[in-house]
Amino acid sequence: MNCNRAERLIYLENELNDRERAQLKEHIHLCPSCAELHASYIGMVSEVNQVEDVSPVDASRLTDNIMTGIFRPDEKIERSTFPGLWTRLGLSAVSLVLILSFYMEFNQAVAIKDSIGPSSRQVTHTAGTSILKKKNERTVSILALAEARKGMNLSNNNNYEID
Amino acid sequence: MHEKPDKQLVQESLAGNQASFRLIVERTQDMVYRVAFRFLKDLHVAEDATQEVYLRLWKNLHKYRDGAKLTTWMYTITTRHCLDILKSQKFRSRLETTEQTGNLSEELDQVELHNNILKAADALTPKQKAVFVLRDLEGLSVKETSRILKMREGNVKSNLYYARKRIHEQVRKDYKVNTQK
Repeated sequence: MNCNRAERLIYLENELNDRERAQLKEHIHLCPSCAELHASYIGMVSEVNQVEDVSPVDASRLTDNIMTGIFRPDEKIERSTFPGLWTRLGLSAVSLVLILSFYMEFNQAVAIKDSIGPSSRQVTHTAGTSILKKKNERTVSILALAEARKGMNLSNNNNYEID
Repeated sequence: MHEKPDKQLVQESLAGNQASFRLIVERTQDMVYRVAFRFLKDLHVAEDATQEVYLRLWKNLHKYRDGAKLTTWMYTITTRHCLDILKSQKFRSRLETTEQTGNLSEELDQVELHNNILKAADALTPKQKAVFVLRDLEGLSVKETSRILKMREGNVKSNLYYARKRIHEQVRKDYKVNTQK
């Protein structure tokens, strides 16, 4: 066995089989350099075995933190106030359907009006004139009524009579 | 009083019994924290890592197999999480900053020697550090270590060799530097 092989076995001494352990022992007996390395490493292993255990500063606080981190009391509230993915997708789909329906209805209405008469702008204008005309007619009627009241006699049966 | 077996506690936890999960935490948290601290060398980072380990345990509790040893599973989750942290750039830069501010002029008593051993372990690769922590500090067998790290036993031994050699060489170097003062 050469020193390189012996060095490997020194660092793996705990994992060796009987045959390897015997070979190492024999080499160390003959090689002062490897014997020194072996003694030094055994000394360190002894120290490693004595490395002090560490534990949490406050074990019960750590346990509480772990439990709180997993079972948050406000977890359900958070979930209920903020809509989930499926809810948000559903709302988006409904909105999209409504927008499309409105768009289609609007287009259909314009198409019908275009096919039967003047443009929507003219129709609106005409409609405006029509309303104004109606208002004028009503105004005339009220004025005519006021004029008529001058010569109006109130009958006993509360019926208005125009002269 | 007879302790409830791990399997029963897991089943009760899965059924929503928080008290049973708390028992699992109380039973294993010292080990989880100790391993996390061995890897991360910082009380607060180790505590945060411990909390994260239990969050991962809770999320994966349904994967627990009958007959499996809960502590082995905990070692696995803890080691993997710590390796993730060790590999993160943020942690590496933090470690370098800490090393730069270390006091090199302290006396080499036994506590200091232990600190030097652990400090030397910080310079190892994540795999080397993992096998050193599990095999040499936690005292697990090579077989258990290979199972936890999902590594062949030959690979575990190879990493152990390099880990022990590097730590030993560093400690010998520190010792010579100190004895020359």
